[in-house]
Formats: sequence, structure tokens, C-alpha cells
Amino acid sequence: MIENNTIFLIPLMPLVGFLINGLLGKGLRRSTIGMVACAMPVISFAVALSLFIKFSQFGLECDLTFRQIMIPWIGVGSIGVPFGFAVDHLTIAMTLMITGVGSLIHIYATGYMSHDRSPERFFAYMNLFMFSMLVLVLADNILLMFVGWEGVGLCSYLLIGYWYEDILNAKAGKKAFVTNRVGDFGFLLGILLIFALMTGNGTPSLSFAKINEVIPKFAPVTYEVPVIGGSIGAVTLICLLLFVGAAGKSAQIPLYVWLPDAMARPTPVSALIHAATMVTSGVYMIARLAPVFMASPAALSVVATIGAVTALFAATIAVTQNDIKKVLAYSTISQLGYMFLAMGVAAFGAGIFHLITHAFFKACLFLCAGSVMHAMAGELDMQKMGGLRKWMPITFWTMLVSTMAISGWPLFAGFFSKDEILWKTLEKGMTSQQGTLFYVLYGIGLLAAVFTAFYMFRLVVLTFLGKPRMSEETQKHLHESPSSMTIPLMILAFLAAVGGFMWLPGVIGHGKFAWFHDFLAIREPAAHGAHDMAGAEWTSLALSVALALGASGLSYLVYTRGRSAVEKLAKTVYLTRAMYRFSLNKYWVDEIYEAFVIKPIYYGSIALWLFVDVVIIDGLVNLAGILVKWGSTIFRNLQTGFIGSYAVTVLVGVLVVLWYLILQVLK
Amino acid sequence: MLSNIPLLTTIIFLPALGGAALLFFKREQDREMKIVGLIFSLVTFLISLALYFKFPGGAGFAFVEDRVWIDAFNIHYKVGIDGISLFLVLLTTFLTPICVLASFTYIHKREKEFYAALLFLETAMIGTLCAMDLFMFYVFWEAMLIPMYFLIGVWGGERRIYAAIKFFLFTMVGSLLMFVAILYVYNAARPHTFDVVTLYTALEILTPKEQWWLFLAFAFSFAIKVPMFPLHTWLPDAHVEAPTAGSVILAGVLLKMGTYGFLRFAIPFFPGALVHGFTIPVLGVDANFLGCFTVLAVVGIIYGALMALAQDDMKKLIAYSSVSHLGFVMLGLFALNVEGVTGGLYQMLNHGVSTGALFLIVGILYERRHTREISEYGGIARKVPVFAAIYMIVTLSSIGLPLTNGFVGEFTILLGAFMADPWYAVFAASGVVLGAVYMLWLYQRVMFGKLNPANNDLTDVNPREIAYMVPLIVMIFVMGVFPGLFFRKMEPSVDYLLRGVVRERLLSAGAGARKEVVSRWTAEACAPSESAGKTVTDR
Repeated sequence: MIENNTIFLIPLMPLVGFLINGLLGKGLRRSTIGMVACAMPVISFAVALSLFIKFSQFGLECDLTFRQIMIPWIGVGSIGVPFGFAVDHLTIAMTLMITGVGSLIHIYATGYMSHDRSPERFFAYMNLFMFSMLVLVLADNILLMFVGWEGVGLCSYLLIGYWYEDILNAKAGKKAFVTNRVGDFGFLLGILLIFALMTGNGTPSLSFAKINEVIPKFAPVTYEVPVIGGSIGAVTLICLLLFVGAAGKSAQIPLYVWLPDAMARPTPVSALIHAATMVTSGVYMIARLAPVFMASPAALSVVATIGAVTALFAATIAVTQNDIKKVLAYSTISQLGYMFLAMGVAAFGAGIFHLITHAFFKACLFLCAGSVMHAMAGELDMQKMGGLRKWMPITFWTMLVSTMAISGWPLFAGFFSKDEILWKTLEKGMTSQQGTLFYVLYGIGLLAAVFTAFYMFRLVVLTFLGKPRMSEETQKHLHESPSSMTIPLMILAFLAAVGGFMWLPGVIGHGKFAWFHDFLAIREPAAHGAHDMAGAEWTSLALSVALALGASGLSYLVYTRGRSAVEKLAKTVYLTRAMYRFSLNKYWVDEIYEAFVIKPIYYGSIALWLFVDVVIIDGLVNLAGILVKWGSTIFRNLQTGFIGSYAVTVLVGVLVVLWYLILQVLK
Repeated sequence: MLSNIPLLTTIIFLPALGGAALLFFKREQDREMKIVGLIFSLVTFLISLALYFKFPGGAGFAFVEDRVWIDAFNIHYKVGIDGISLFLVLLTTFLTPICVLASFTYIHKREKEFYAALLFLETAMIGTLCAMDLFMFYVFWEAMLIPMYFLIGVWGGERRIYAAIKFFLFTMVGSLLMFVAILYVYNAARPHTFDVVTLYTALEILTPKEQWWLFLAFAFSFAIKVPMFPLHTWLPDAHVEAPTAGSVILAGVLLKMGTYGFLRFAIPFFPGALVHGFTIPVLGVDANFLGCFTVLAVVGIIYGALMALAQDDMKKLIAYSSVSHLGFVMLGLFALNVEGVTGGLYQMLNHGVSTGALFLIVGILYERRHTREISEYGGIARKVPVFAAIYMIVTLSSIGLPLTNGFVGEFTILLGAFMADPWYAVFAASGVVLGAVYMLWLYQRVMFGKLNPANNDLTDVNPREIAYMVPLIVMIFVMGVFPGLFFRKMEPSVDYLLRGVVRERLLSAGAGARKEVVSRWTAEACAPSESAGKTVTDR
């Protein structure tokens, strides 16, 4: 632990940018607004870079942490949580990615949003997002991470609903926030359970360092599960609760539904929040708590399974979507699935590696899509595109490079990172006791890779190649985007092309050209057995390459030559038609949620309100009122005001008393 | 010189003095009346700030004034504040000038009486919070009812009479039971006394059975005021009909009187009633009040949230959200540990700030459009950007986003509840999800989408409205980022009030309650040992 007093500058700068644009933005010129918004993440990047240099001065292999504890935050009873930041290798890698890619996207956005009505609001939100995201990764304790966690969710909500005049956008924003809240429900309970255990251990702290040290010791503790029966390990429970949160934020089954809808927002937002940074925070959280997760093999298996299944599931949907951003959205879900698969096989380094390369190529892909939309006046439907290569060469080439990267073409970034994950899965299958599961997951991962290459090349072909399918009118306005947009594209495409050389596979680099791996050095379990598995690794590599190239080629052929044949297949043969329908309609998951979760809660509450509040409770209250009224009506009749009736009453009374006295005497 | 002035008495009666002064104004002098009302409430607030800075800390009462009032029954005029009432007094004096300011253009009839009623109400509320004599407490407690009754009944909406009577009867029924219990308590104490601090220890002689009945009587009265499910149905009606200022005071302070009552009287007076179980007569089921009230609190959280989902009227929606939020407060109080109770106390303040702000926001819209129907709005964010920003911040505070006040309260409550029994926290946390649903949905329906032409002429907030919203916004962030400013002064007093509970638990269990709770979670393998888990190697 080394104290460092500059860390706070990294999140502070975007916060300052947010305050300037948010409070004073109305009076500022458009160019000033953009300048302020872009300068802040760039400064943060510079500060992060200076920290990174400090790390390298100590030697990259040296495991150290810079820390800055500022003021106390929540302190009551046994809990005491400060505002504090900690930076280790994992953090600095994330921070550089976030501020670096973030800066590029901000610059791009100055071009993209040049015609928007209220740029100050847009850039204020973007800066606020950067602040939250940086708090999330820099946080020294899990509660402060939760601050960033909710903060990015809020910014996502605000930016999805940025064009709120269209109620669909506003609804998508709310859907994102609420789905994330469902995840946060798990996250919050996980934090509470962690704190209960930490208190039990006599170390009531929520700092990651302490948690990673103490919580794994509780692995043997089990709780009984009520109703269902059986028992669950304390650490497993914590991991699963946290994973619910991760699945919400990182759009995994069953909480992924918000991400495709979230594509309504301005495209730089999609690139920044919903490709490069925010959606990866679930992966980061697991990597951050790697020692805790490693103490629960059961939880890891769940993470791996959900990840692999999501990777394939989302890829099968992406294949049939016609909305260019929807394809990329499902692609993101699918790629996040790979990252969780990596986490689940305890290949934390590989997962983070893929997280970083994915940030490069997916941000590039989204920005390219934005560039296309910019030229096409907001058109999203790929069926109305085609042939754009002629007008937008830079966009085309950068997109092609990123597509090759995500599809896993040899030497491009995605090839190295994705294959590292697949190889680690296979390795786990070969070495672990429940090998079958991991063999299956490996197969799923491979299949998803095939789909990935297929739908990505479909996207490129439909958009940029073939005959133009847009109207003459649109064609006249087609143009390449301004340099503020194309320069970030080229930088990102460059990174997508060469980013993989940070970490060459063991069989190629023989452990030498893998500085990123060494740098992360996340506590991965040492390779078991230590057999020579080079042969298997080569086979796995070759298989991936063959499948990626094959699928890309097939896709190219199908969508340049045989589109009509495919369409025919999708409409006539019973089996393929059914599969096509399932994929096109996203397996009707949204409709199922609507019918079985949302509607019942809404109509249930109305029924409950009418029945319990209005009928039962208020009914009883009003009944009491009415009874009193009736009662008094009866007694009121006695007071008629007629002397005669009073006399009769008195007489009756006297007679009753007399009768009583006589009875007493007779006894 | 200043130290000779009885600070609390000044703060209690200054507003009433202002109210009395208003009565001498002529009806046409509405401008002057408003200014006088504002000045009196503002000065009261400024003086009350001295309480915060001069509060010595620690568990005891400060600024105590003690005079004999009715000697024959040992009734005193005794006031003082501790770390609990301090902040509630501040909340009251903070919200009253805001209410006065918010009523300037809202109230058009009988203005003199309106501002006078508001100021008299402030006196009654502060008196209730400062009272250290049970009899005096009861007097102020009942005195609060009268101005509030008129605020709803005179300046309210269409069904104001129904709402006012419902409000009055509900609270009155509870109060009477409490009065009987107060007399019993007085009689049971040796020597007979109404002195609250003395009673904290003097009531240890009560038998468990006495404690149960007395707790029930007090709790019934307070539970109506909170209001706890199922005694809450007066609240939506009262809120919907009340004028903005009435709603703010009702939600902001009056409801807190219920939770404050639990914390100040019911729990520390009769801790035995919470710790020891009893058998329900006819049913023959074993139960205890702790379980009953915690379950009701959790039910209130979820039920209130579901009710809020079903509403078409903004004020009714917010009223039901209050039921849900107050459920959180009760959950915290009945966690009976420092985290939970302090969190509950904090959430009382949060709710006063956030829900007060929400009612003001509805008031701003109502003044312009004269409707509270959600469907009448839509798409107005473009028309009123500043309003939209303020409303968004308040919404976020209400759903407990971190760095706003709501999160600190909710988190500490959940933490306390989790330590008491994790299942309560599990159910309560689902209320957090629902809270986001109904609040964001409300915001979306009001602010987003296509502009309803009827709202075309809507104007943004004016300087006066900004002036009373800004302090609330500032508080939202101050309380979210620097909770230590509050917790530090609250904690010793909370500890002190929980003493009785700890004692009873020791008596009944023979072991530290806290240890017992914790040990359930760490089970047998508590001691860290090498074989206990996989040892973790760095890299």
C-alpha cells in the first residue's frame, strides 16, 4: 500500500466538467461546451497515465497498490466506510481503457451531436457518467463501488431517455434502470451478507483488500435453505447474490432485456456506456473479488454456464436482426457472455483481456454504425442500406477491421483474447473433476464464435457492399463523416487490429510476449498437473481459426450471392422457418416478462388497492361511522319533545322498578 | 447575555407569538402578513441552528428548562433535547419557512388564519418534540391536531371535510388510549411522576403483562400517526385534500411524531414487551410485539409501494410512497440495534426532506394547472427544464440513489435489519426495487413523451420557487455525502434509549444480544484457521 494523493483527480475532472456544463452550460457556446467535456476525460487519462508510469518504475511484475483515503462517509455503530480510492494493476488497466476510449468517444460526440438542441445536457450527462464509472473502478471498498454502480445506471437512464419526446426512449430508459435495480437487489444483499460475516470475523470493514482476505475463510460455513431444503455455502451465497447484480449491469440472462431497447439513445452513448465501459462493470466486479469467487467452485460454475449460454443465446438473436444497432447490442451481450465464461473458469486475466480488446473493437463498431446513421439521416434498417463503401471508405475500412477483430481472424485483437478464453475453458475441462461441464461450455463457446463471425459479416455486407438499396434522395446526401468522427474511428480500429499483441498465447509466445498477462497477474490458480498441453492448445487455436474464417466466408457468400435462397429457406421449410421466427422475435422474452411479471404486478396492485384499502379497511372505518350514526338515530327517537311520550317513558320506568322490587321482596 | 435566554422556550413559542401577532392584521394587509409569517418562521429557524452548534453531544438532554406547572400532580413544564429530538426540531423549523414561502400564491382565502394556523402548528410540533414531561407532551400532541384539522378542513380540496374528520377521528382514537396509558404510567411510578427521564428507570418495576398492555396502548396511538399498515387509510385522503403546505408539514413532521413516539416512549419505556413473547388469547399462538411490528413494517414497505403503483393521482401516489418509506423507518427502529435505529432516525429526516420536496413539486404543478391527475401532464420537460432538473434530483433522493440522503438511510436500515434477521432485509430490499419503479414511472408520465397541448403555456419555476427548493436540494446532497454531521450527534442518544432493550435481552437470554445475532451468521467455523478454506495466494 502506497499513499498517493493524485488519484482523486481522475474521477474529479469529469465531475467538474459535469458541474460546468450542467450548471452554466446554457450560457456557453457550443464549441466551449464540447471543449470542456472533452478536456476533462483527457486530463483524467493523463493522470492515469502518470500513475501507470509509476507502476512501471516499480517494475511491472511488482504487485502494489496505491491508495488514497479521504473523508469518512457512512459511519454508525459497527460500520465505518470512507470515501477512498485504491489503484492496483487491474484498476489502472480499466482506468486507462475507460479514460482513453472515453476521451475518443467524447471527441467523436462533438461531431456527432453537432446539430443537437441541447448539447450542454448531453455532455453534462456524459461527464457525469465518466465520473461514476471511474468511481466504480477506483473504489477502495465495495460500498463506494456501489455508488459508482448506481451512478452509471443513472447516467444510462438519463442518456437512454435523452430524446425523451419519444415515449419509447423514455420507457427504454426506465426499463434499463428498473432491470438494473433488480440486479442491485442482489448486489445490496451480497454486501450486507459480506458485512455480517466481516463483523463476525472481528474485521468490520468493506474494503476490497480485507474482503478478499477474510471472506474466503468462510467457505466451509453453510446455511440451510428454507422451503426447498438442502444447504448452501456462505461464500457461494455471497457470490451468487453479487452475480445477480453483475448479470443486471452486464446484461446476462435473465436480466439482459434492457440492453437491446437501450439502443434508442445517441450512438456515442451506446459506444461508451453499452459497449466499452458500463456493461463490463459486472465482469470487473468479479475480477475485483476474484479470491472470494475462487473460494466457491459452485458459484464459478454458475457464472461460467450463464456466461456461455448467454454468449450463444444472444448470438442466435443477432443473426436475424435488421436494425444495425440491435445487431451490435446482441453482439455485446454475447461478448459479455464470453467474459463471464472466462470469470467462471477462473481465467480472470483472459476475461479482462477480452474486456479491453472488446472495448476497442466494439466501441469502433458502434461509432461506425453512428457514422453510417449520421450519413443516412438516422436510418437504422440494414435492408435499406448497401453499397455504402463507395461513399464512406474510412467508415467501411475501420468497420471491416473491427469486424475481423470480433470474428476472431488471426492476429486481430479478438482472436487472441477470445481464444485465450476458449482455451482456458478447454483446459479446465481437461484438468478439473467435473470436466464434462466445461467441455460442453467450450463447445457452446465455439458455436457462439461461429455465429459471431456470421452475423458480423452479414452486417458488413448488408451495409457496405452490394447494390445501394436506399432512395435516390438519400444517396444524394451521403457523405463521409467529419474528421472529429473519423479520427477516433481510425485510432480505435488500429487498437482493434494490434491490441492482441499485449498477450500472445502460451504456445506462440512461450510466456514471453504476454506482458498484459503478467501485468494483471490476477490471482489465477496455477496450472494443475502441468502436463504439456501444447498440442491441445494448438488444436484449439486451429479449430477457432478455421471456424471463424469459414463462418465469415459463408456469410460473405450468402449475403452477396445467395440472399434470396436464405430468405426462401427462412420462409418455407418448417424447421428453419420456426428457428427464424424465434430468433427474429428474440424468443419472445420481452413478451413473456410483460405477461408474467409486469402485468401481474401492476394489475395485482390495483386489485389489492381496491380490495384491501378501499373495501376492507375503509369499509370497516366507514362501517364504524355508520354504526355510530345508526345507534344515535335510535336514541334520538326517544327525544321527541312530546310531554305525553316522556310521561309514558317515566311510567314504564317506574313500573319496571316496582316489578323488580316486588320480585325481590317475594324472594 | 444571550446565554440567559431560555433557548428552547424561545424556539417553541416564537412561532405562536408570530401567529398571535398576525391576528391583529387587517384582512387587506395580505402582503404584510406573508412577510411577518416568513420572518417569524425564518428567525425561529436561525435561532434553532444554534441548537445544533451548541449541542454538547453525548447521550443526555441539553438546554433543559424545568418549572413546576401543576404542583398537585407533579406536572412540570420541562423541555430539553437530545441527539434524537435535536434533528427533528431542526427539520420542523427548516420546513416551516419553506411552507410559508410556498403558500404565497397558493392560498387565497382567509390568509391571516392560514399563516397563523401554520405558526401555531409549528409551536405545537416543536413543543411535542422538546417535552420531557409526559403530560406536557400529551398537551402539545393534542394541540397539533387542531391547526392541522383546520389546514385540511378549511384550505383543502373538494372532499376536505371528509378527509379532515377522518384524520381527526383516526388520530383521536389512538390518542385517547395513550392518555389512559399515560395516567397508568404516572400511577405506577414511585413517586408518581410524568418526568420522562425518571420514568426510563422507574418503569423497570412493571410486570411483563403490564408492559404488554401499556406498550399496546402507546403503540396503537403512534402506529396510527406513522401510519403503519393497516391503519394508514386516513393518510392518502388527508394528503390529497390538504393544501401543499399542509401536505409538507403532514409528511415532513407530523408522521415523524409517530415514529418519534415509538423511539422516545414506547420502546424505552416498555422494552420487556418487545423482548418477551406472549400467547394470543383466543388463538393460542405464541407471538411477540417485536415480530408483529417488524412484519407490519415490512408489509407496509411492500404494500405501500404496490399501492403507489396503482394510483392515478400524484398526491395519492406520493402519500402511499410515504407509507412505504415510513415502513423503512419502522423496520430500522425495530431492528433494535444502533445501525437500524440510527438509520431509521436518519430516514425520518430524509423522508421529511425528500417527500416534503415532492409535495412542493406537485404544488408547483397544481398551482399552474389545477389538477393532480398524472394523465393531464406528459412531455413537459422541454417546457420547464429547471423544474425538470429539480424534480429529477428529488426523485433520485426518494429512490435512494447513492450520494443522496435516501441511500444512507436505506442502507443503514437494511444493515440493521439484516443483523436482526436477514429475511426482513431481503423483503425490505424488494421495496427498493419497487420504489424505483413507481417513482420513475411517475416521472416519465409527467415529464416525458409528447407534450399535452393543455400544458403549452406552462411556465418554469420562478425565483421564489427556486428559493424554497434549493435548500432542500442542498440538504439532499449534504445528507448523502456527509452523514457524519448527523450520525455523530445521534448515536449516543440512540445507544442510551436502547439500554433498556439490551438489559431485557440480557435478562431473558443471559448473553449479549449482538453476539448472539452475529454468531448465527458465522456459525461454528468462526475462528479463522488454515484448514478453514482454501488459502489464497497472491498471483
